[in-house]
Amino acid sequence: MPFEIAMPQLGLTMETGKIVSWAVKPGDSVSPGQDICEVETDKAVVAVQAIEGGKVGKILTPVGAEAPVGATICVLLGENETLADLSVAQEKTLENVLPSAPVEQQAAAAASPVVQAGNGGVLSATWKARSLAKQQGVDLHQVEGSGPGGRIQAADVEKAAGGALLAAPAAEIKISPVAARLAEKLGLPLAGIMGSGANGQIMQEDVLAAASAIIRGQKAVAPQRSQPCVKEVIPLKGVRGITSQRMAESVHSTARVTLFREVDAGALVDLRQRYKERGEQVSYNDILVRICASALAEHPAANARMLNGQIELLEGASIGLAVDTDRGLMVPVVHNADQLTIAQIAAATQRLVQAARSGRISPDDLSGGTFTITNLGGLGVEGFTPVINLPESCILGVGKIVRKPVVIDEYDSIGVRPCLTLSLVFDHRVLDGAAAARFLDCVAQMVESPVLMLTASHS
Amino acid sequence: MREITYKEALKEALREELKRDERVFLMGEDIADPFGGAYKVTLGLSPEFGTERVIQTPISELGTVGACIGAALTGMRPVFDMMYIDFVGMAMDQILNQAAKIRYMSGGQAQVPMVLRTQGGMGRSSAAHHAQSLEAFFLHIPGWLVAMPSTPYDAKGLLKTAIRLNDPVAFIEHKLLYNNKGPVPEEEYTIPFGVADVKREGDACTVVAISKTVEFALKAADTLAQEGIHIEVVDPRTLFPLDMETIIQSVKKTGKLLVAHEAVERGGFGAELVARVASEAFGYVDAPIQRLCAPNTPPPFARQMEDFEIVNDVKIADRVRKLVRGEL
Amino acid sequence: MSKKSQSSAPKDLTREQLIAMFRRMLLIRGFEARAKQYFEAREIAGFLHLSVGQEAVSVGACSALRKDDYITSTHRGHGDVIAKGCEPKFAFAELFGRTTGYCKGKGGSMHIADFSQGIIGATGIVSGALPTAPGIGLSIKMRKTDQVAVCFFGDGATAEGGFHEAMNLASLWQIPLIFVCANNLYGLTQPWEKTAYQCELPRRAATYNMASACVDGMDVVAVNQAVRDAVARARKGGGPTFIEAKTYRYWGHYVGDPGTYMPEEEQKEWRARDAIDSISRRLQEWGYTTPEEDQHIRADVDAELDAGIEFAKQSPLAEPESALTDVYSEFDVWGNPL
Repeated sequence: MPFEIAMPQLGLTMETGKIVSWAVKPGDSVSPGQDICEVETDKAVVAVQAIEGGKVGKILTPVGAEAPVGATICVLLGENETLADLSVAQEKTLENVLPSAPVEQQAAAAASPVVQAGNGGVLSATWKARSLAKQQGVDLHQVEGSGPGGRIQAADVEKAAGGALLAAPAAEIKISPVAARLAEKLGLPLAGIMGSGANGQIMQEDVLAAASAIIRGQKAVAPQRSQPCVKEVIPLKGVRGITSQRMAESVHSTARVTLFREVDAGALVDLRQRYKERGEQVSYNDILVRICASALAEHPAANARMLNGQIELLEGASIGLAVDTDRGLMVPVVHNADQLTIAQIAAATQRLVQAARSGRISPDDLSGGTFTITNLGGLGVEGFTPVINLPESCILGVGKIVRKPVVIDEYDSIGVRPCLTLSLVFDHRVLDGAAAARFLDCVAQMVESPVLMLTASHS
Repeated sequence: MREITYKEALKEALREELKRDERVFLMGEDIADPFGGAYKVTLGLSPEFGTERVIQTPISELGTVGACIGAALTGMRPVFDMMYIDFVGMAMDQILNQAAKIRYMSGGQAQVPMVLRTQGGMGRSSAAHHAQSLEAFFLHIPGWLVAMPSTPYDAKGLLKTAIRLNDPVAFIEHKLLYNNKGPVPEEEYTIPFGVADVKREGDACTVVAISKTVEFALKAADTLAQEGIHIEVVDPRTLFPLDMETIIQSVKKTGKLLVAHEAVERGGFGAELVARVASEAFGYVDAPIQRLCAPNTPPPFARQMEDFEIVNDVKIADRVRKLVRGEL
Repeated sequence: MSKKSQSSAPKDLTREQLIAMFRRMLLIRGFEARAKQYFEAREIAGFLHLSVGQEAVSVGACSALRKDDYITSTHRGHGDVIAKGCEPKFAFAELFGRTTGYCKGKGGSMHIADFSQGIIGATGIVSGALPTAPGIGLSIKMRKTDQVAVCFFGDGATAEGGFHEAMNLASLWQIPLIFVCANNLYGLTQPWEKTAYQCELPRRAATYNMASACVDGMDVVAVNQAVRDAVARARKGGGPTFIEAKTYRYWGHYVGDPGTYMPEEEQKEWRARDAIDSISRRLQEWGYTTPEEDQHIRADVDAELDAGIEFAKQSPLAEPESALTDVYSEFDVWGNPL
C-alpha cells in the first residue's frame, strides 16, 4: 500500500509549511528516519524525516510550494508497487492539493518560444492582445491571429481564453521557481535564457549567467555611472527572509522608545568569576537572564505582549537570547527562567545555542518567550537600539564591559570601574516610560548588587 | 437654438469681453472699420469701441506683438489679431522668448494675459505663405496655451475663456470655418480649456481631429455609419492643456485610433498625441495607430494639388475602413 | 569745505540727490566686481555680462524716474536694475540660484526682474525688450496715468528690426517712452562704425520724428539732465524721446572675453574719463563731500555689498523641482488647472 507522507505540524500554531528543498527524487529508496526534505515555518527551517521506508513514487509539493499541515507532500511506494496502485480516493486527495506558489510546469507541447510558424520567428500581436493575454494567462504562442499577416488581436485572445478567466497566470517557459524568482528580482526577461536543467528547464545558474552576461555587456558599452553592480544576490528566503519580514513588522508597528542606563558591572564580573572558579561555565548572559527574570516578576508591565488589540500580562518569565548562527539570527528561549537557578539557565542556554547553530533546534525552543536579551558586547558595541521581538513588549540590549574612570564616592574621587551600558527598548503602546524606567532601574540595581535577586518576589 | 456663423460667434465673444473688462483691447492689421479684418471678424467693433480699443497698426508684427506683451505685463489684456499664422515668423522672438518666458524667468512675478488670434489652413489656393497650419510651433513652446475651435459654439466659448485667462493663448482659427453656421446659445457661456468634446459617439474606431478636419471627420462618420461602421469623433478643442482622459476613454472603448489634422505630418500635434496614447493607453490599442495629415510639403498653389494634400472626409473614411477591416 | 567751485554745482539737483547717484554708481561697480570674482571662482553659473564703465548711464537715467515708472533692460542689466532700485543682496541671491533671488533662481544674470519696482525684466535677446517697451507706453496711455517708461539697450540693438519697429510705433502712438541707448561702441566684437554706415544715432531717431539727444555717458549729471527733460516731456504727453549716451564698457562683452578687439589706446582714453572718478572729484569740488566723507561712502558701499554676498550664500538653494513651477499662472506644467 503506498504510504503518504504528510506535511508535519512543526509548531503549535503552524498552519502551512513551505518546501525549501527535497533531498530525494522519484525512484529513490528511503529508509525510516531519513531526512527527505526541508520545510520552512515562520520561525525556522526544519528537516522532515520519513517515518516509514519505501521508494519515492511521487512528489506532490515541489520546492517553493506551500502545503497545509496534514496534506500529502510525497508518496512512498512499497516493493513492486506503482502509482497505479493508489486508490481512487488517494488519487483524488492528490489532485486536490493546490500549490500556492509558482509551480514547475511543463512547457506547452507546441513550438518553443522562439519559433512561430510563418512569421519569421517574431510574435505579432497588438498591445491590447498582449495585455489581455498576460491578464488572462493565455499563451500567445497558442493563439491563432486573425489580423493581417497572422497578427494576434484582442478578439483572438478572448476566443482562446474561452471567455473564462484563469486564477493564476500560467508560465509558458520552463523554469524552476527559484530561477523564476531570481529572474524577476533581477528584471531579466526569460526569453533568450538557455535552460541547462532537465528538458531545457531554466535553472538558477542559467539566470545568473544571463545576468552576468548582461552586466558585462553593459559594462563594455557604457560605464556604470550611478548604479552599483550586483556582486551577489541573496534571496529573501529561509531565516533571512523571516528575519527581514519580522524586523520590518516590528519597527513599523511598535512605538519604540529606548532607555540607556550605564551600570557598574563590578559585581557582575565578580559573580561570573566565582562560578568559573567553581568550574561552572556561566556567561554574563546567563546571569542577566536570571536578573531579568527576577526583575520581570516585580514589573509585570514589562513581561507583557500586545496581541489581538489588547495587552496581555504574562505568567512566568521566558527569556529569549539572540544568537548569531550561519543561517542567520535566531532567538532560542529559556522557558520559565524565573524558576531556574543560574546554573540551570547556563545549561539550558548552552544546549539551545548549540542546537541553533547546528540547525537542529525545534520550533518550541524558538517560541513562547516573554522577553528578549541581545548582547553585542562581544563585538565591541556599547549601546544600541535593538528591534523588539514581537509580540513581546521589551528587549534588553547589552553592550561591552568597558573599564572607565568614574566618580566612586561622595567626595568626587575618581576610580576606574568596569561599566556596562544597558539599552532597554520598549513598546510605548504597552507600557509607559516611567514603568519601563522603573523596570530598567530594577535590572540595573540587580546588576550592581546581584544579591537583590534574592529579595525579588516570585510570581 | 439660433444658428450663427463662426466669425459671428468670434465677434460676439470679442464684443462681450470688450464690454465686460475695460482692460481688454484689440490690436492688429486692418481690423478697424470699414475693412473689419481680413475675414471680417472685427467688422463693427471699432465704431462701437473706438479706435483706441480696436487699434489698427502698421505692418509691424514684431513691434505690435511685442507691444501687446508690454501692455499685458503692465495691466492690460490685449487680443492680437495676426492675419495669417504664416506671419508668425515675423514676431517669433517676442512669441518664443518674451511672451512665453517672462513669467518663468521672473520667478512668477509677471503674467502675460494676452490672446494671439490667428488663422491658418488650406483650401483657398492661398499657397505657401498663406495656408499653413502651425499650431505645433506654439505647442512646442512651454508658456503658451493653444486653442483650436472647430465650431461656432466652441469658438465663442473658448475665445471668451482665452481672454479671461492670465496666460498667453494662441487662438488658432481656420479660414474655411469662418462662414460655417452652428448653434450658439443666446445666454453667456464659456468653455474651459483642457476639456475635449466627443462630437460623435461610436465604437468602431476613435478619430481625433482638430479645427476644420473635425467637420470632415463628421462627414466621414455619416458615410461610414451607412456601412455599419460607427466611429467616435473626439475634438480636443485645446491642444494644451490637452484632455487625455477623454481620448484614452475613447481608445479604451474602440481599441483603434486615427489622428487627423491638416498640418504636415512630421512633428505635428498628431505625433504628440500618438506618443501619449502609446504610453498611457498601451493596453487598449488593438491595431496600429494611424495618422492622417498633410504630406510634408509647403502648401501648394494649384487647386488640385491642395485637394491632394488636404485631409478630407473621403480620405478619413477610407483609412478607417482599412483599419476596421484589419487591413493595416 | 572749499567754496571755490560751489557755483558749478548743478542747480536743479540737491546735494543728497548727487551723493545718492555717486553711491549708487559705486554700488553697481562693486556689485559687478564681486560678481566677476565669484563667477571666476565658479560659484556663479552661466554667463555674466558686466556693465563696469557704464554706471553713469544707468544711474543718471534711473535717478530721473519715480518708483512707479518702468524700465526694461538687457543682458547687461545689473547696472540698470540696481540703479532702478534692486537691492544687491537679492540680486546676488539670484546669481547664486537661491530661493531669495529676485527670480527665485529661475532667471539668472540676464533676466533679473522686480515688477514691484517697475523693472519689467532684462532679456537675453539683443533688442528683445525693444518691441515690448512701446506696449508699456501704450498701457500707460490707456490707463491714463502719468507714468513713463525707459527702455535701455545698446548700439548693437539698433541694427535689429525690433528697434526700428519700436521706434516707429512709439512715435506713431506718441507714448511716454524714453529710449536710452548706451552706445559703448561695440556690439559684442562688432565696432559701432561697422554696424551702421556713418551713423549718428540722434539723427536716425529724428527720422522717426522723435525728440532726440546725445549726451556724454560718462557724466552722470548730463545723463540725468537729458533723461529728466525727456521724462518731463513724456509726462506732459509730449511723446517719446531717444537719447544716445556715449559710454564704454571696460571689461569685454562677457566675463571671459579678453576684449582683444578693443584697442589699448581707446581703453585708456575712456578710463581716463571714468564716470565715478568724475563725480567723486566734482562732489568734493562743489564742497558737497570731503575726502573723509568720500571714503566713508565707499566703505559703506563695500559693507553693503559684502553683507549682500553673505546673505546670498546663506540663503537656501532653490529646490530643483521648482523648475516645474510658474510656467503658467493658471495651470501646472502638465496642464492641470491650479
